[in-house]
Amino acid sequence: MSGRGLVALFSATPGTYSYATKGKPARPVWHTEGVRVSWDASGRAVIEAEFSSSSAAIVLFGAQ
Amino acid sequence: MTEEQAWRSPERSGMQVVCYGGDQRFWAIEYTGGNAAGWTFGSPSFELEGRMVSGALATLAETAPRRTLTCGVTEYRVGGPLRDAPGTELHWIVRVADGGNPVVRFRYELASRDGARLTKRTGSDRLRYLSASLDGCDLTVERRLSEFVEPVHSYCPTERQADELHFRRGETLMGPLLTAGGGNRQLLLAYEHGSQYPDAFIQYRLRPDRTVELEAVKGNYLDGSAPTPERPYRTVWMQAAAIEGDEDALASHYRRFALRHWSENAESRRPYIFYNTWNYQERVRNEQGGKYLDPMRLKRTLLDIDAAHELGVEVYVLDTGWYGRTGDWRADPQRFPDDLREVRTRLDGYGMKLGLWFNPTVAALGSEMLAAHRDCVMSEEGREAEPAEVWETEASVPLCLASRYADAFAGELIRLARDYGVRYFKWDAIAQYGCDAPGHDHGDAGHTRLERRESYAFQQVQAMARIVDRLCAACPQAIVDFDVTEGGRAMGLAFLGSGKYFLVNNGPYYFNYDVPIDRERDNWNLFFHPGPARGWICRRPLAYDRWLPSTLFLAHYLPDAPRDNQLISLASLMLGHNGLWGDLPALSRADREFIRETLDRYKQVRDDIADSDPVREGGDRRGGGSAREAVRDERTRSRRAFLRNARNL
Ligand SMILES: [Zn+2]
Repeated sequence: MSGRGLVALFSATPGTYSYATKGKPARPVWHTEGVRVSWDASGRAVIEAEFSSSSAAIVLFGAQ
Repeated sequence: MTEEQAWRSPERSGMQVVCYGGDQRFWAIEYTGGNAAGWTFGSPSFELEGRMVSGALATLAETAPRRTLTCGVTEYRVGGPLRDAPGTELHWIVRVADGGNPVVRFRYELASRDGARLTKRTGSDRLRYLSASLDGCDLTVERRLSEFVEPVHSYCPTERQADELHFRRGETLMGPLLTAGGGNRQLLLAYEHGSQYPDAFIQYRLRPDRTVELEAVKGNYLDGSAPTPERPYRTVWMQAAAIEGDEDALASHYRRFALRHWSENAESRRPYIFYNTWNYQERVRNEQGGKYLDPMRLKRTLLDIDAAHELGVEVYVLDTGWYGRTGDWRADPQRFPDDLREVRTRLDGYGMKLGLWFNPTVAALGSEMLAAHRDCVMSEEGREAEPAEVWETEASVPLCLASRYADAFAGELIRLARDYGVRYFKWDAIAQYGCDAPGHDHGDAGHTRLERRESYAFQQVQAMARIVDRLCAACPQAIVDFDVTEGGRAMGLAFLGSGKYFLVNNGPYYFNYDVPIDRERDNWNLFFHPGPARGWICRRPLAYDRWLPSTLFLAHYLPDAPRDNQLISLASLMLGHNGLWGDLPALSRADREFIRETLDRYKQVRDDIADSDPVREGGDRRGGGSAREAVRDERTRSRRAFLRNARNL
């Protein structure tokens, strides 16, 4: 189990979006601007991404 | 035949394949240790000298030494004389993963020692590849790969559930994948061929007793052909799996098989970052009033390579126009006077690979290839095609891939791999139909024109795969990419056993959306500009990723400012399509650094992403966002989810 990988978020509407990973991702975590990553006690990551325009957010687990 | 006479493979993770050689039970996937997932397959059957003959064997034995393949697989060959036609032999060639992947790949070979011929007494193919029971399965799904979906102007995966009525009515399904599940058991069948839905060459037939048969439709063999031990009749490859688990587990195993255990041409599976010149060539034509081939110059190419290197590109592809004339495939002496020497030196210095564009089905009127292969020119209804310019270069005529020309083309590619160091070969413009000539290897004057036409269309993708395999045997670093950006291609599983696909060019054209344009002067491409729209189109076929890794489907994204477009492009690329194209030297230094730094981070985890099972979330909620996850874990190996705003669609 590496826990390494990617979450990509896409949206055209401004606002805050959240996503809870299905797996238990590895650290460290790298992400694009406007993203917050917190960790649930079970080891899953919770991502919150702020969109102000039609854009995308990238979260890479196991990358620095 | 008795249990004792059966042949058994070594056990791998509790699974083995067994050949019984009977009608109803020709071979089986069997498990030990209380796993209830086994599955039994009925024999193939062939029309020989006007009558249907079962492939059941009189006796059986392992008939060749075991072969270990570089993709972690062992090949076994088991066969013997037919019970009902002792002058004819049938061999079952089966490949099983050594490390426990449950997907089994197999085909048959038929050979007669007494001159028995394959026939078509009814005028059409009569060949049954297998039969199997789906009893106990309450969900049967046809999984198509080759429906051309015009709103995105691309092949996309589609599926259809088969219910009781379909079985009762004896309906047919094209597939090429068929899955069935019930209780804690999942089954999968697949065949390796290709054509656009619904133009089936092979199909599944459902029976009221809940069996399924895989059968030939057209072109699978030539009427009156006599398979011999020297030139046996080889069926297409087929695939089967039976597991305990749910459908996600089955998809995960199949995806893993496609990535690691299907093809020995391992480079085709690697998530390199690809760049291709075509988008810039289109910009020159559509936005600067120039010609497509204007950028095909040494100076521009070196500038482009420098910029590509700064971005982190690993495979640099010169699209159409690098060559002097088709067929001979040498650098154009005016455009690249040093025969690509400096291009190679520059790429080598950066540790980058060179890719080149080819149309494997044409040769220029003045080419040595055509002079040596006049007999291989394609014709239909007795008329050879009119010579036509190929992208602003010398007029060319089409050559037939089911003729001796195929070997000569493979030789050209091997020469290019050796002399130019080419590592990526883009094959474009290969329409599946186009030749009904007698005198090639797809029928002679004794066959009807229709049979020759269908035989060519059937054999084409197999000929393509053989060329790729010859090239990769000579140059294991080679990657061959089959452009399926337009319809009418041999789309399916066959090519993926050897190479990968170039999936989306620019998606739909204006006229696909009924927007009137001047086709001579205007830009046809609707999704050609930086911004979110291109991503909506290009990401749609990511739905393949559940069964077939997206690294097998190349599509290119635009690196242009603003930053939002760059984020969308990079996020999309990382989901597996892995291509970038555009005017790279025009990017600002800050943009190049941003892309480089982002791709550097992606490269740290890209193999894990390629290994990940996709998870997607969102996409239909009005005004909502969407997210995609891809984290590799043990249970499902990894995941990917994506949220997509409903408004985007
Ligand atoms: Zn031909």
